Amino acid sequence: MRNFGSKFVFTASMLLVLTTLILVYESALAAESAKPEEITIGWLGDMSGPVSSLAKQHHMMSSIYFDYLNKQGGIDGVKVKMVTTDTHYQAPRVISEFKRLMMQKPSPLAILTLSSHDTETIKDRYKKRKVPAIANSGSIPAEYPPGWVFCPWPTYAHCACAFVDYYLEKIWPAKGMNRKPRFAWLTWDNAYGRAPMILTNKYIAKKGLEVVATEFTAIRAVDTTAELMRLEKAGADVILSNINAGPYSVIMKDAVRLRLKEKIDFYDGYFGVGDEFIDSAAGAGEGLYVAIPHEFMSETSVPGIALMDKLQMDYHGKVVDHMNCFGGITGALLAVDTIKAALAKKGWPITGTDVYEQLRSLKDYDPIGICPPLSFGERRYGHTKVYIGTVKGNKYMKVEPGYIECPQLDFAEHLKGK
Amino acid sequence: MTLPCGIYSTDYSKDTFIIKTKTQWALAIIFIFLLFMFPLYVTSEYFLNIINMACITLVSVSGLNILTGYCGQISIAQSAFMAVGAYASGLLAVKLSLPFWICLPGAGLIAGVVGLGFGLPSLRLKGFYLVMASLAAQFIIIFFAIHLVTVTGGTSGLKVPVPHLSFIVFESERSWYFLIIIITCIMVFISTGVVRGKFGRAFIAIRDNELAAESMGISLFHYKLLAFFIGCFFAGIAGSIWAHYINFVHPEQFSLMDSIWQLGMIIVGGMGSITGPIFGVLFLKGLEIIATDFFSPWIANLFPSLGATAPQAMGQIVFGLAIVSFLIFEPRGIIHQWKMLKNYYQRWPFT
Amino acid sequence: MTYFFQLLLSGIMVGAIYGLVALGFILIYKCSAVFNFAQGELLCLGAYIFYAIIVQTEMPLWVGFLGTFLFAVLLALAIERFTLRPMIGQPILAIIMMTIGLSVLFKGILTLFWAGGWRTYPPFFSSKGIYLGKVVLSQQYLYSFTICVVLVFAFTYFFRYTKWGLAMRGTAEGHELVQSMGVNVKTVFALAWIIATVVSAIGGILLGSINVLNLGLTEMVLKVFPAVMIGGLESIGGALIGGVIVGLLEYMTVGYLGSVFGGGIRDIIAYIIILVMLIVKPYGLFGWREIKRV
Repeated sequence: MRNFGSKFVFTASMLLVLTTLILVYESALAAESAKPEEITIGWLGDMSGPVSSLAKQHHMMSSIYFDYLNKQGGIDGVKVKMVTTDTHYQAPRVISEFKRLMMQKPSPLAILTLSSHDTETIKDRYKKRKVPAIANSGSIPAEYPPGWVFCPWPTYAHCACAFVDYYLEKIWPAKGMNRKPRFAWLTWDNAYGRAPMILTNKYIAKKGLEVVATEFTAIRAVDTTAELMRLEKAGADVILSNINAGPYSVIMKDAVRLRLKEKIDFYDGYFGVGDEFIDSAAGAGEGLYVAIPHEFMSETSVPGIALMDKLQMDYHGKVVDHMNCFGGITGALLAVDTIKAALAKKGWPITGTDVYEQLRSLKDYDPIGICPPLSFGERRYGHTKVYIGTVKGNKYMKVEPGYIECPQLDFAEHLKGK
Repeated sequence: MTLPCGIYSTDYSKDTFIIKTKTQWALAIIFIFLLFMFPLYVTSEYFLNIINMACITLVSVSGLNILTGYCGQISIAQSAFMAVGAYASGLLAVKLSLPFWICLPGAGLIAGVVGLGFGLPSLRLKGFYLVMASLAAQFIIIFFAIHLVTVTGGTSGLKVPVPHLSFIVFESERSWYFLIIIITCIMVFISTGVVRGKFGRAFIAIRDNELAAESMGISLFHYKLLAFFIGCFFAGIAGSIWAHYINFVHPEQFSLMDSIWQLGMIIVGGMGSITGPIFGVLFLKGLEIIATDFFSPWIANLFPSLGATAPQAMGQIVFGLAIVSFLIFEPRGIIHQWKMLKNYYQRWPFT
Repeated sequence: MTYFFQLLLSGIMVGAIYGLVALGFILIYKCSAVFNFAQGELLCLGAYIFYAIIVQTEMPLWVGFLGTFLFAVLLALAIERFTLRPMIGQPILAIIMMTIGLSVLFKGILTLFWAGGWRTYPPFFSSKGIYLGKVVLSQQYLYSFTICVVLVFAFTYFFRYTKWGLAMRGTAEGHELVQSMGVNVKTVFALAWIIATVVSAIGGILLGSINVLNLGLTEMVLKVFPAVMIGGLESIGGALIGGVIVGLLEYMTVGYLGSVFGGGIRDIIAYIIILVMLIVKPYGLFGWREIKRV
C-alpha cells in the first residue's frame, strides 16, 4: 500500500510553490510602478515589426526630449516619466500593453502612440479609461467620429488631395498637354496603404477627372514590374501611393528600368519620406513628389528644428534621423505644453480628463515652428497645411517655399465607402 | 487514469466514467474552485489578459488537436478558420443584432461548414499535398476577408459590440475571465467526449492506416469531413470569443504565423491526448512572454544595436528552438513527460 | 503587341527565379524525401551573409562569394546532422514541422540581426536595360535566367549520368536497398543538402541584387509551392518549367485581368493555381504517380 502521508506532503508543497510563484509574479508587476512625485506619459507603438524603423525614430526623439525637459526641472518641478511598450504589430498585444500602461502608478496623463491600425482597436478604450492619445499618423477611423485620439498632422487623404490640387495647378500645365491628366493608384492592400484612397478618389471625381487603374503590391514585394506595366497600359499620368520608404524604392527602381519616369509622375504619402528611401533607391528616386505636413530638417533657422538638431547632437553625436523624428518631438511638446496649460488653469492634481479638455480647446498652439499652429476643437487633426517636396540630388527639397492649404474633406464620406 | 489498487468498476457504464473515485472527484472540484477563485486573488489586468488570450488559443488548439492529432489531417489554416468565426460572429452581432449567446454557436457552425468545404481536398490528398491545400485555404480566406469590403469592412476592420447578460456587461478582464473559463471548460469537455467515443476511435483508425480503417467499415468520406467540421467548429468558437473580447476584427490579426504557432502548440504539448494542447499552449505562450519581456531587455543591454528588433525576433527564435528541440528529443510532447511524472507519483515507492 | 511581349518576357524572367528557388526545394526532396519549408530562409540567409561580408565588413567580391558558399556548406551540414537525421522514420507531420520550426528559427535570427532596413548591394550588373525593339529586358533578370537554365541542365546531367547522382536517386527510393549496394546514405543526405543550400544562396544573391534586399525574400518559398505543384516533385526540369509558368501566369493575370479584380490579384493567383492543380493533377505535369502497395 502507499505511504499516504508523504504523498500528501508532496501535493501540498507543490500547491504552495505554485501559489507563491503566482503571488511573487503579481507583486513583481505591482512593484514595477510605485513612485509618486512624477507624472507618467506612455508610449505605445510597434518597436518590432514592419514599421519598426519609424517607431524607433519616433521613440528616440520623444525620449530624448523628455530627458532634456527633466534636466531643466521637468514640469513645475515634477519629472516626466516616459513608459515605453512594444506592441509587436499584433492586436492582442496592443490591448495587453495598453493595460500594462494603465497599470502604471501614477496613471498616465497622455499616451504618445505611433498609430497603426491598432489605434482603431483601442480608440474606445482611451475614452473609457480617460486618457488622451496623441497619434503620429492621421487615420480617419481613429479621428472620426471624434474621440480621445488627437493627431497634430492632417490625414493622408488631406495630403494626397493637396498634392492633386498642386499637380493640377502647377505641374500638369507645365507639360503642355491638351488633355486632362489621368490618375492611378499603386499602393499596399492594407489599412495604411488604402487610407487616402476613398476620399482622394471622390475629390478627383469632383474635379471631373478619372482614376484609370488601381493596383496593389505585397508589403515586401521584390518586383513590381507587372503592376507598373498595367498602370502604364491604362494610360496613367500620375501614380499615387501611400507606402513606406523602403518598399517604395523597389517601385522606383522598376520604374527606371521600364523607362516610365519620363512619362509618369510619382507621389508618395509622408511616411514614404526618409533616409531609407534615399539610400535604397540610389538615384532612382529623383523627381518623386511628397507632401510633408511639417518643416524640413534643412531649415535650421527655425527654433524647433534647431532644437531637434541640438538634441540629436547631444545624445548621439550626430543627427541620426532626418524625417521620422518629427512626430516624436511634436507629440512630446504637445503633451507637455497641454499639461502646463492645464496646470495653469487648475493646479495639481491633473488627470487625463483635464489634459483631454485642454487639448480639445487648443487654439493656435505653436510647437516652436516645427509645423503650422495647431488647433483642435471638434476635429482631431491639428492643421491642414503641407509642403510639396521633391527628391533632387538625393535630398528632399521644397518645390514651393510656402505651405499649401489642404482642401476641406468630409470624413463621413470616407466611412460611407466607395 | 490508473486507478489505485482495490478500486475497480463493477459494470460497463461505470467503466466509462471520466471520474471514477472519490479522490478524483475531490481533486476535480478543488481544481474548478481554484480556477474560479483565481481572479479574486490575482488582480493584475495584464496577467488576466494573458490568461484570457491563452484560453482562446486553447479552444482553437483543442480543435486542431482533434483534426491533426487524432485524425491525422494536417491543417495549417486554423487561424483562417478562426477569422471566419470572428467575422461570422461579428457580422451576426452587428448586422442581425443577435446577442452573443446566439452568435457564439452560430459562428462555430458557420466556421465548421466552411471547414467542410476546405476539407474536401483531404479525401484525395495526403501529407504534403494536404498541407498545400490548407496553405492555399489560409491565404484565400484572408484574401476574401480583405476584399469583400462591403461585408467584412475590408482593411478598415469590423467593430463588434460588447456582450451583455441582462445587467452584466462583459467589459473588464475579470468578467471576461469567468466567461472564457466557462466556455473553455465546456469545449474541453466536448473534445473529451468526441475523442472517447465512436468518433475518436474512427479518427485514430484513419490516422494510423486509412486502408485498414476503410476495410473495417469506417467511411473515410464521412469521418474525415466530420473531423474538419469539428476542428473548424472549435476554431469558430475561439474566433467568436476573440471578436467580442477585442471588439475589433481585422484581417491582419489572423496570419500564417498564428496557424504555425497553433500547430507548434500541439506538437510541443503532445498530439493525441486531451491535455496535450493545454500544456502546449501554456508552455509556448509562457516561453514567448519570458523571451519578449525578460530575455529581450537582457539581449538589448548586451548588444545595443540589436535592441529594437530583439523582442519579436526572440519570440520567433524561441519558438523555432522549442519546436526543433522537442521534435528531436521528445517527439511525444510534454504530455508524455507529464504521464511519466504522474506514473512515478502514483506508484511511489514502487517506481 | 509590345505590351504582350513585355509581359511575356518579364514573366519568363521572373519565373526563372522562382524556378531557381524551386530547384533547391526539389533537390532536397529528390534526395531525402523532406519537404523543406525553410527554403525561403536559406535563400535569405545566403543573401544577407553575402551582404554582411560585402557591405558591412567591406571585403572584396570574391571573398563575399567564397564566404557565402562556405557558410552555406556549414549550415547544410549542421541542419542535416542535427535536425534531420533524428527525423528519419518519423511520420510526415514531424518532418514538416521540423522544417517549419527551422524556418521560424532562421527568420528570427534574420530579424534579430538585420531587421528593419532595406539594403542594397553595390551594383554588380549595370541597371541599364537591354532593348529588343520596344521591349526592355533588365540585365539582372537576364543573368538570373541564364544561371537558372545552366543549373537545371547541370543538375539533370548530374542526376542522370554521374555516380553520385545515381546514388541520390536510389536513396530517395529506398535507404536499405541502396545501402546494400554500398552507398553511404549519410553522405548522400549531406551532399543533397549542401547542393540545395548553395543553390539557394546563389538564388538569394541574385534576387537581392535585382532590387533591394529585405526580409521579404523569405516569402519566396510561397511561390515555390505552386511551381512545384505544376512541375511535379521529382522533376528538376519541371522546377524550371513550373516556375516559368507561375511567373507567366502572374504577369498575364495582372496585365490583362487586373481591371476585372480591381488589383491585388498577383499574390493570390499562386494559391488558386495550387488549388486547381491539387484538384486536377496532384502529381504535377512531370511528377511520378505514387503507387502504394498494401
